Formats: sequence, C-alpha cells, structure tokens
Amino acid sequence: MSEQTDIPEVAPETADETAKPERSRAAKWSRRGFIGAGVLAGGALLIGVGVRPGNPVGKLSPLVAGGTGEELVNSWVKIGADNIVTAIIPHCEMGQGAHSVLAQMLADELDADWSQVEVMQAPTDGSYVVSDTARMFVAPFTMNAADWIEPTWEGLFTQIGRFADVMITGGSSSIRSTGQYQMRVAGAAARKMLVGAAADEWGVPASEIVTRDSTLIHEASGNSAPYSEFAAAAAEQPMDHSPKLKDPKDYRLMGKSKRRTDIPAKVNGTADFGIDAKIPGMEPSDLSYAAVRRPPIPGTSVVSMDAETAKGMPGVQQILNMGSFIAVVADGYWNAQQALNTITAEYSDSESPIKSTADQFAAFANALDAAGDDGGEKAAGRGNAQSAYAEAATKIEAEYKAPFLAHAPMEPINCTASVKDGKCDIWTSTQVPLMARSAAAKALGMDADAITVHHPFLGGAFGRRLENDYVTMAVRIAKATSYPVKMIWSREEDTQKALYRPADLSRFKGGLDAGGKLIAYNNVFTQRHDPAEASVPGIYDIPNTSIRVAEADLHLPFSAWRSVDHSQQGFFIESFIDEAAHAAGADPLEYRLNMLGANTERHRGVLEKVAQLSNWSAPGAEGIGKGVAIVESFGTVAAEVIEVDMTSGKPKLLNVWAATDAGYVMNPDGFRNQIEGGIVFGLTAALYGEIDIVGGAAKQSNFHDYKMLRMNETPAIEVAIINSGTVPVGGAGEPGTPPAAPALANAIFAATGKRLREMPFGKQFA
Amino acid sequence: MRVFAIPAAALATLTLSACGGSDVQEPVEQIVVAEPGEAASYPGADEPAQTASDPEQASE
Amino acid sequence: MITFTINGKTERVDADPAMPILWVVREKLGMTGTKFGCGIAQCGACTVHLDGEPIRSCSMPLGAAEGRAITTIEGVSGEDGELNAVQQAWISEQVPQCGYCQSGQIMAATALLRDNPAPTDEDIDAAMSGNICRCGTYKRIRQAIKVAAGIEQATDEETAA
Ligand code: FES
Ligand code: FES
Repeated sequence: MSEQTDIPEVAPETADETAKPERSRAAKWSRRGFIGAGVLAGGALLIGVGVRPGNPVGKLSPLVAGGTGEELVNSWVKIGADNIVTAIIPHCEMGQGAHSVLAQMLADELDADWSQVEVMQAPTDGSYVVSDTARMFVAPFTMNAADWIEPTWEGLFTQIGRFADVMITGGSSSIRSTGQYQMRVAGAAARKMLVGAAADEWGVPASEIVTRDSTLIHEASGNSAPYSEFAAAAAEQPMDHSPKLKDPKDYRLMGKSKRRTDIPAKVNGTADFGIDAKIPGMEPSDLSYAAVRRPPIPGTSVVSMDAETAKGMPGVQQILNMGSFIAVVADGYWNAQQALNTITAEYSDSESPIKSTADQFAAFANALDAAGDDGGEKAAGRGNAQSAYAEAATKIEAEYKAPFLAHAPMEPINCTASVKDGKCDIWTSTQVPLMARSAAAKALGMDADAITVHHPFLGGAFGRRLENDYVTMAVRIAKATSYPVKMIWSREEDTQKALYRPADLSRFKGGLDAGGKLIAYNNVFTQRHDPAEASVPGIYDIPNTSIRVAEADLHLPFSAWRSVDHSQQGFFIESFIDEAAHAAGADPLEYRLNMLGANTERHRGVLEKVAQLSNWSAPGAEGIGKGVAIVESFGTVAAEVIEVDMTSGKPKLLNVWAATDAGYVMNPDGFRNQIEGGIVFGLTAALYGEIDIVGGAAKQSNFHDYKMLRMNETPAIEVAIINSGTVPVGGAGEPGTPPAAPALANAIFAATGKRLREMPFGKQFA
Repeated sequence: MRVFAIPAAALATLTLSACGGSDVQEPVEQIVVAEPGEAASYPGADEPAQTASDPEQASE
Repeated sequence: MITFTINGKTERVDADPAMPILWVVREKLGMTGTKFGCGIAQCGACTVHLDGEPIRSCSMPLGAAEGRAITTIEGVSGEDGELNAVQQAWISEQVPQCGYCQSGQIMAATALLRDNPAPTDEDIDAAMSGNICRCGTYKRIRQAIKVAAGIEQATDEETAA
C-alpha cells in the first residue's frame, strides 16, 4: 500500500526554536505525520520518520547540520557535500552494537556506500522520542497490528512516549522497533526521492535508475551522480509514506556481520564515556569533583554530619549535607573520597521491619504461606491444578530462592553537571537521556528546555542506567556550588546503594500421570514486575496450571536488571521442569521436546539444534554433566546446554552451547557477541551473585565480595543462530541470560545428583 | 495479559514526571572551604618519593 | 613535584605523592583512556605499564612513579596512531561491547604478548584473570590474543557471518 499524500507543512527554519511543542496535536495526529518532509531554506530535503506528531524537522535541523555545504536529508539520515551518509540514531550505545546495526538497516534501504556511512547519536531533543519503543513496552502485540489501526495506536503511543520522555534504550528493542519501523522506512523513502529527482533532471523513467554505493546510475544515457548532487532537488519530489522495503534476497548489508563502527575508538582510549566528560573551555585539572555517600539503609536520611577532619583535608572545596546524601567537593575525585571517608554522620531511623536477608526471606515465606495452594493474585492458569495434583501418580514439590543482585556496570555511576546563568548542562551515561532531563528539571525547578543532556558511550548499564537518581544528585551539587562538578560514585557506593534485581522465593507443586507427563503445575511467588508473561511456562502443554503472585515488600529498592523477571523465573521454571523430567525418569531434553505445546516450532528448532551442537545424547564421563534450559524472552527463543566438571568437588564450567531464534538476525556476529555476554552475565549470577542485607544495609561492596566470572572460569561458548523468519522479532541483549542459571543447576544435578534450588551455587561447594 | 506492561523502572519515572511540581531541595548544610583554583598545598610534595606500595603486589 | 615520563613525554606534577597514579593521569593530565572500575586492584580497568610492567594504577601511589616511565592506552599505538597487533586483533575479533574495560584488557594483553609471544590457554588465564569484563567478552579476548600472537587467523568482516 503506497499511500501518496500531500507534503505536510514543515516548520520553516526561522521557526521560534523556543516554542513549546503542542502536546494537543497528538490527538489530531494522522498517519501522514509519521513521515514528514519539506523544503528548508536553501532547498535541502528533510524527512522525519516516526519522530513525533507535527513536523519537527525544521526544529531539528540546526542540531544535526554540521559543516557548511551539508544538507539534511532527513531526521535519521544526513547526506553531506562529500556524499557521506550520517545515520542519526536515537538510541544510546551501551555495548549492544545498536548504533552500527541501525545504520546498517538504514544504509541498506538507501543503497548507501557502507564505507561512507557515519553514525551520530541523536541530540537530546524531545523530537527524538522513540514512539515504537514506547509502544513495544506498552502493548507489544500492536506491533504487527493491521495497518488501519496504526494511526490510532501511533498517535496514542507517541503521546505516551513524549509524556514519559521515552528516549529509552532497554528491553532489547532498538533493532526490532526503531530499526524495523523507522530506519528502514527512512532509508527507503530517501532513496525513492533521490531517484525521482534524478529521473526528472535526466529526463528518464525512474524505474530505469539504479542505486548503488550512494550513487544514482542510468546505464542507457550514461548518467551517474552521487547522492549529494540531488539532495536538494529530492526535496521537490512527492514523498512515499509507506515505501516498499527490500526483500531479504536483496539485502546487501542487513543480515551481514558488518564490523561495528564504535569499536575502533574503544581500542585506543579515545572512546568517551560519561565519566570521561570534559567541560568545553575548561582544563580537566580545573574541574571540581564530588564523592558522595548516601545513608546505608534505604529510605533513611542524613540527620547530621561531623566534617571537622574533612574540612582540613587537601584539595577540599565544599562539604554538603544534602539531606538525602553527603557530598565532598574537591580538586580531584581521590581527594574528595579521602575527605568523605573521614566524615561521620547520623542517619534517621528506618521504618522497614527487615534487617537481614533472613528477615526478607521470612517475609516472602509468610506471603507464600498465606497464599497456600490457591491464594494470591492469579497470573495465569488453566484447568484445575489442585485436583489434578491430588490425583497425580507422582507428586513433586520444590522451593527456589533467588537473591538480590546489583547491576555493577563496569563504569561506576557518575554524572557531571554545570548549573549557571539559568542553564544546566549534564554529561552522563544514561539509557534515558530525556528522562534524565526531566529529572534534572524537577530537581532544579528549571524548565526542561534550559537543560542539555550530553550522553556519550555507556560503560555498561544492564538496566541500572534507566534510573535517574544519580542525575538528580549531580545537578543538586552543581547548583549548590554554582560551578561545574563531576560526581563519581565509588564502587562501594555503586554496589551498596544500588537499585537491585529483586530477590524472590517461588514454590511449586507438580503432578505427573502414570506415563510421566506433567499434568499439574501449581506455582506461587512474590515478585512480578516485567514482562508479565515471564512466570508463565507457556511453551509447554500442561493441562492444569495455577500461577499466582503473593506480593511481598522488598526492603531494598529495585529496578530492571538484564532480562528483568526472566532472570529469576527462568531459573525457577526451568529447574522445576528438570525436576519433573527426573521424576518421570526421562531425558531432560527429550522431556521438554515432548511437552512443547502449540505454536512452538521455533522452540523445537532451538532445542533440536542445541542437542546436536552439544552432542547431547553422547554419554558423559564420571563427574561431568550436561544440563539444558530454554527460555523465550524479548521475542527471542534461546536454548542453552551447559557442561560442567564436578570431579574436583567444585563446579568447573567446560562448555556452553546456545541455539537462538530471533526471527531474523541483522548482524550475526554482533548478535552472537550479545548472547555470549548474556551467558557470562547469567553464569556470574548463577555462581556468585548475591547481595545480602545486614543491619538493614546491603553487605557486599566491591568485586572482592561481589564476584564476577573471570577469564580463567569462562567456558568455551558456541552460539548458533536460526533465522526462522525474515524480520527481527526478538532482541539480542537480554535473551542469553535467563537460561544460563537453570542450565548450570541442571548440569550440576546431572553430574552429582545434587539439586540446587538456591542461587548462587558457588558457595554451596566451598 | 496485562496491557500496560511498561517496565517498572520506566513507570516509576513516568509517574514522577507526570505528577508535575518540583523537587527542589537546597542543601541542609553547606561548608565552603575553598574556591576552585585556590592552590592546594600538599604536605610532603617536596619530600622524596615514597614507594610504600610494592608495584609487584599492586599488580596482582 | 613528582617527575616521570608518560608515553615518552616528561611530566612534572604537583600533587600528593600518595595520590594513586590513576587519578593523576585522568584528572591532572586529562588522559581519560585509563579507566576507574573498583579502586582496590580487583578489576584491572586502570591497568597501565610502569617501566613496562602492567600495574593497577588505582592502587599505586604517584610517588612510586618518580623517575619512572608510565605507558597508557594512549601510548601503545605506533607513531602515527597505527594500531598495534593487539589492538588490530581486538577489531578483527570485534571484542568490545561497552568497551569500558578494554583499555585495561589491551594493556594486560600487550604486556603478555611482549613477554610471551606464543601464550597457551593457561598463560592467557594467568595473565588476564585480573581483568574483569562485566559485558562478558572473555571468549573474544582469548581469541584476539591468539590472533595477535599469530596462533589463529583473524576473522574478516565477510566471514564472520
Ligand atoms: S580500578 Fe584499578 S583494579 Fe579496578
Ligand atoms: S566490554 Fe564492557 S566491561 Fe568489558
């Protein structure tokens, strides 16, 4: 359906830059606003795709137009006088390679010369709200909604997106939402307009013009020209709002392992992360630095501090009691931290009844006891799990525990801020730059338009940098001092005052019929956040299920942690399925295959693939075991087999084989890197991850007691990719993580007969 | 299926930004010791270098 | 005043001799390729060479650098910025994810290969296990070290699929 419509009016370049976006326009939004195009002074063509209701291209152009002679072709792509195509990417780069892959998708549709493609991070402007990302979070099922429903949904979701300032990099969503629905459309539409302009100029049919390597070619007449030559003329062309996208057979860049564009800067020290922020016009040695300490127990505040010693310490400039935290500002981070270490403080009393890990798990157990076999809130279910259980030939019961976990990104939390002359500049690593801006605006009582967020590379995030607690702290410090300050958290602060992956307790009762089939599945746990379906063993055909949540409060604050609820639920569910297989006397992988329900071709595919990769049926040596687990998360199905050597009495990881199906993988090598990383992340949690509560505070503090998997412990990892479709339906960043812990627990069981129902496993063999 | 499955993290922020108002909080206590650029003096800066920490050890 | 060379250039710094080298390099000299990860010699993000030996700059006082030579990630490339074999292998094997740990990883690997041009897996474990990568790129680091050593062939862009 190629729907030709009039070119929407574009705000002229002279538009009042400070004008507020009209929020009410969202309600009147129509499909034609989804792609907006128009002519700028000077004759350049502008296209904005899925940016927001209205036509923001005029407002954005000064932000992305760089040198002279450059023309903005659309909000997502810029063609310079040198014919360099710049892809303007609305997502942050935190190691997932999204910048490169999104550029690949755009450049492929545009037929751009890949060696002449550059990537630019979109400016932090409300116009870059990622509506498809917002929409995927809010109602994933509408992503493939019939076309007629799009206008309604799109208008609604763009509005929601603006409201929440969603410029979000999370939920493994960059490629499948922004890439599939925006970058490709932008590239294809721009290409079509360039072709149209060349056809008019050369007096030849557009259909005879081919595009290749950023060049327009008409063989018969011998004409050819670089894209840059027609960028301005293309503006006069009618715009196709639904340009035809390439068939997979015509992909030249998509589906290929193109090298990531962000990597060269990451091997020579030139990549700038948030912590490396430099203030323009200021020597790094003139900058001020803050070390901070929040009260050790969540929800308490600083009543008073004794800073007598700190006042006399070298380099100290200011000492601040901000109520919710203490800050020392000095001429360097180390001096600030040394001074902070000497400060003693009194904190308010905590109202939480929970003082220890045991208290927390007792609270969970109380909630589960109260819910019993049919209490709590129903999360999912069918049939009658209780009566089926009563009549089952074999009954099994299990209780699993998962601890609190910190994200521990390699780059400690930090934020640099300058607040003066009614303006605020922020430099920080964030997954949500627009939300960071809103948070700063609130903390400062300033208008968001007066705030600029500069967001360079992220040194890891894993969900931690969806939060803005640290941005608020930094701007408050900078406001109090009235000069720029770089706030850096110590690793201890990062680990002990984090927002954690929730701990949980999950109880199961299962019933098998005489043939060993799982016919009753009754499960209750206390934590349900996102995604809602994480607790549902939906891939299996179990006739009677009851899945319930009996909510219990968490003492420590929580946030999304790589794969979110799948990180605990994957362990619970796939361990319990393994226990059922054992009770049935069946091979665990066969048992899973036999239990797969309707619409599980992709699940069958990955299980069969991983069986083959791992040589599953070959008998293992004494003390060596293999375990399997399969979890679908964020649209990707991942099955993993882990081989562990238990002969020394402690787990030694030998091999991990993973088979994955994300629909269609845009960059196989980049995808594999993400899955490999997700597996190591999952194994770190499985073996070591644990945040305890002692005296109401988080106990672990740094990498000596919050341990990470290291080189000598990392197994060989092999990742297979199955492309069962033609478009990406699944993400890459998170799906590798959930199967790792259950596959390892199941492997240890296979090797030793010891069933591990509590994470982490490492200390249980100490 | 719950329709409104915004990640809890995003939702928290959504709620915050939706409820308007401002969170402005001034410091409870502010001790100004020196201005940036005022020379910091390092006792011992002119003394012979100390090598208390063994490089071999620290690299482990 | 402490005097030392950094990437071949002589520097005189007026700072507390007890201040760790990491902060002098990052904040006084403005060279931010060397990273802060833990501050207690646990993660290796801050690895630099002191007289050629890899050290944890977060835990080494400035005073220890007096009269000695520091090399950082900014100083391991060739004269005109040409990447060394380790850096090239890091690209061919597409090692980094977030990249934050990689300066330290490359400093550790560069020292390993200088002393041991054909490291075994055990040698790699011994030299590299002090460096944490939270993104989990260990498999690729191992492979890249072997490529830099000439033990394995570099993966090229077209065959990576
Ligand atoms: S920052 Fe020096 S070892 Fe971690
Ligand atoms: S690449 Fe992110 S910590 Fe190593």
